Amino acid sequence: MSIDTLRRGITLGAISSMGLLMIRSASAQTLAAPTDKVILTISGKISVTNSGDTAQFDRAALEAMGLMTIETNTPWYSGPQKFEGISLDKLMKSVGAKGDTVQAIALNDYTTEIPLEDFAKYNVILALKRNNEYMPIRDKGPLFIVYPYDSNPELRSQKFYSRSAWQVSKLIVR
Amino acid sequence: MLKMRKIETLLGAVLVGLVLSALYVSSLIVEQQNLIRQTARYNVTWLASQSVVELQRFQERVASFSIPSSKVDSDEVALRYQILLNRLNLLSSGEFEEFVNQSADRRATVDEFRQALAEIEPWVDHLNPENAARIRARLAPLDQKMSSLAAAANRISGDQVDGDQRELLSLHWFFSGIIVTLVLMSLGLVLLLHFRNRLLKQAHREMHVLTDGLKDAKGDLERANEDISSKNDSLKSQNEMLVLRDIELRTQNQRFDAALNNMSQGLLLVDGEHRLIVCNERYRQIFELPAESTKPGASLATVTDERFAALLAHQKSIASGPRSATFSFELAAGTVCSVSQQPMPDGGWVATYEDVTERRRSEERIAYMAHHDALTDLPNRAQFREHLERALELHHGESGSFAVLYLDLDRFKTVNDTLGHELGDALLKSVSVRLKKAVRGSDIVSRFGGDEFAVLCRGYPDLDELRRIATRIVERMGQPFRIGGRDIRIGTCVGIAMAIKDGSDCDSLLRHADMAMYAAKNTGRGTYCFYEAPMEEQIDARRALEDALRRALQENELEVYYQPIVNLKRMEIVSFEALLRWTHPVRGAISPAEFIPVAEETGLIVAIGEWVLRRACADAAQWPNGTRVSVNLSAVQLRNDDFAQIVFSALAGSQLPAHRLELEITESVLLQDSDATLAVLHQLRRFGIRTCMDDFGTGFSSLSYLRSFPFDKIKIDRSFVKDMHVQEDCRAIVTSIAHLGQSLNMTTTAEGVETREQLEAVMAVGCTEVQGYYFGPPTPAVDVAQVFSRLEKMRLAA
Repeated sequence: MSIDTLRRGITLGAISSMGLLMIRSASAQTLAAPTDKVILTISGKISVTNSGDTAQFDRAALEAMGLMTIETNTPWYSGPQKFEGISLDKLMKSVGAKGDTVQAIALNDYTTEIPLEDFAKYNVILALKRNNEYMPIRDKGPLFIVYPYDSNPELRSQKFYSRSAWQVSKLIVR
Repeated sequence: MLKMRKIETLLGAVLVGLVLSALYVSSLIVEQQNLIRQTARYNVTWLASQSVVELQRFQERVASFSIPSSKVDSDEVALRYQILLNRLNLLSSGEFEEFVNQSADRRATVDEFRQALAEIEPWVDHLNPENAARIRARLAPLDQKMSSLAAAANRISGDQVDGDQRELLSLHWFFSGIIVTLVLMSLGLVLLLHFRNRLLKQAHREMHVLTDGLKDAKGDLERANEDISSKNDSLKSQNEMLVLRDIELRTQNQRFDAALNNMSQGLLLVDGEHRLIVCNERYRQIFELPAESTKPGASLATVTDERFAALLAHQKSIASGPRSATFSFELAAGTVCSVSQQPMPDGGWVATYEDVTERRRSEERIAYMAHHDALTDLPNRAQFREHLERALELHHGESGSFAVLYLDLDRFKTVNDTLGHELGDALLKSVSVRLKKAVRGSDIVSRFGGDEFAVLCRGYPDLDELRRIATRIVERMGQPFRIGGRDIRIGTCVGIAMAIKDGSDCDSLLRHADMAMYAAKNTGRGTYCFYEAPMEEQIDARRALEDALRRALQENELEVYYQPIVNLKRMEIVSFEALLRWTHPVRGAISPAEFIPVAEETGLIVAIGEWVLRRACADAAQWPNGTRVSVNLSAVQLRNDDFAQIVFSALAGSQLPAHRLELEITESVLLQDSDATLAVLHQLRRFGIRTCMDDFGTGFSSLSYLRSFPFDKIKIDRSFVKDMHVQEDCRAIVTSIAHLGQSLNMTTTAEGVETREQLEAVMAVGCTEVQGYYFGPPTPAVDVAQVFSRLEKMRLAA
């Protein structure tokens, strides 16, 4: 990661956090409808929606919530990788999730269940970028649930690897 | 203790084992953790199997696309194609890549899968039924290969799981073994600890017992210690006492030694066997014994010289008796030893020996001195009295058995004063020698002191015998004594008292002899006299006279008379001689010749003389024409230290000028203490008082006295004047004296001029003054004026 990118990231982070504040004040009741292609649909036990019973997000909407960075080794890549994405905890709170688990459904029909408490406990993100590039579908994009595996040995197990779903398109709060 | 050490070693070993086991268990747990992590690793089987599913789904989507009624569009196919690409990435990266690389077939399969996907991409992009058919045709052979890959992955995983499980199992057994070992070891530890505890308890009990024992022992020791220290204290005090006693004993010994050896007496201590216990240095000196022969234990018989055998025998005989004894023993010729012996209870004795030779001699000398006169070696008064008493006892008052002669020397005092005591002493010695020769051998001559001697004549001397003896004494004493180159003439008078006629005891005999001597003296020089009863009366009378004289001064019985002295040239009174008169209330007038000697002997003359002097001065002060007064002085008066002061006082009291006072002294005055007397006379003369030599010509060597003092006047004794007109020798003497007076520029007064012839005679020889009855007798002071007038008439008549 070059210094330039980092600075940009920080600036972006700062701007997006300001934007988030505006959004939050605006979406106290409602969530803005997506303007671009919807890449994530959250449904289930949520109180904030923007499309029927669901909350739909395009890439911009997600990025506007602010990005977090995790740099960690994974079983899927050789060497440590830098991931940027939205805090799932924050995301869940933004939609007023009131459940115990979240079912993540990927484009390849892979489904996994994640306890809601994981997000706050482990600072799990819904990654958009790997090594500063938006992840395409062929590289686990557009959204990839990433745990900070290096921060805790507990996370380096099949249990958490199986919760790390890629090509995520839907989250259902249960 | 050995057991305990073994147990300690075992315990240590078990603990080390436990620690090692724990360490090993820890390492095992780490290993197990790794194994579990391996089992938990990402499952490649799932990746591989998913790739088969996704491949089939893509093929199914492509097939569906060809069927017109299906809902699958090209986007759906493209999405599936993207998913396949994603799968391909997964297979060619990460852990799966490791799995693929393990086998060439797997790599070939993946390579083929990559190649097939690459080939079908254009067809997917341009999807149409024809391309769909091509895609299916191209992917068909891959199904079987991908399934094989999945199966292989499954098999590998299975094997892996199997191996892991086996390993876990063995690890489990190992664990169990170790735990069992640990349990066993812990049990062992517990046992060992229990055993150790027991041992410790036992040791504790033993220690307790030991401690109790020690406590008891300590108590015992403390008590013993206290006991010892108290004993030690008592020993110390005993020791101190012993040391003190030792010091005391030593001091006592030293004192004893010092006392012994400093004793003036010889000391001998002898035991019951007559062996020497101790003796001192003085003892050895007395008996001339060497120190080595007088060691304690030596037999007395061998110690002492045979010279003292008699002494030893005597002492042994005393020792056998119960009493102490003191006796004298003559050690050698002239050496007398006094022995004092005290018997001891054990049959021995202690004796002191004192050389009393010197003491004896001293005693004898003292006894001799007590009985003898040191100067003449004659028996003294005391011994004389003893002899006298013995004689009285011997004869029981037998009459005529013995007589006492008493004598003194005439003029001895004058000799002693003028020629000195040494010469006087020598004279006394010579006197004693002559006395002894003068008496008989059986008589005892004694000196009573001074010039008094007594003789005891024993053996019934008759009167003639006594007269002869007395005469011899008087004659021999009358002969001159040749002493110190000159002849000295004295004389004596002897008084004789006879037992028992003149006294039946010492005192009366001696007193009566003395009285007889005075009687002889009164008779004249060079005589003897037997005692007669009236003598005592005379003595009594004299004593009465003394008393009367003493009273006379107080009672104003004395009176001064004045006899005129006339100057022959001018025929007028130049002075009066003061003459003392005593009128006794009973006896009437008493002659000065009688009472003046008594006054001189008793010393009353000092007071009387002073009274006369004051009286005379006072009377003379009334006289006209500077008439002098002449006062006689006694030698006794001049001997008084205050005499000059008395004279000055008399002059001052009467206001009589000094030159009007004349003092008359006789030659005898100058004979006694002449230096002192002359000094006083010079003192008086310097004051202006005139001096006069009285009775000139009657004394010893008158002329030398004239030289010794510048007299103003010489009075020529009446004895010369009386007969000068009939005896030529008297006349010659008076003439000479008158001439002498002229030559020496002295006035000459002729005394005792009573007749016209006498007056003319003295005038003829050149005497300057005259005194005597011719011009008037001594008259009372009140009649002095008449004397003046009578003389005036006589002068005018002449």
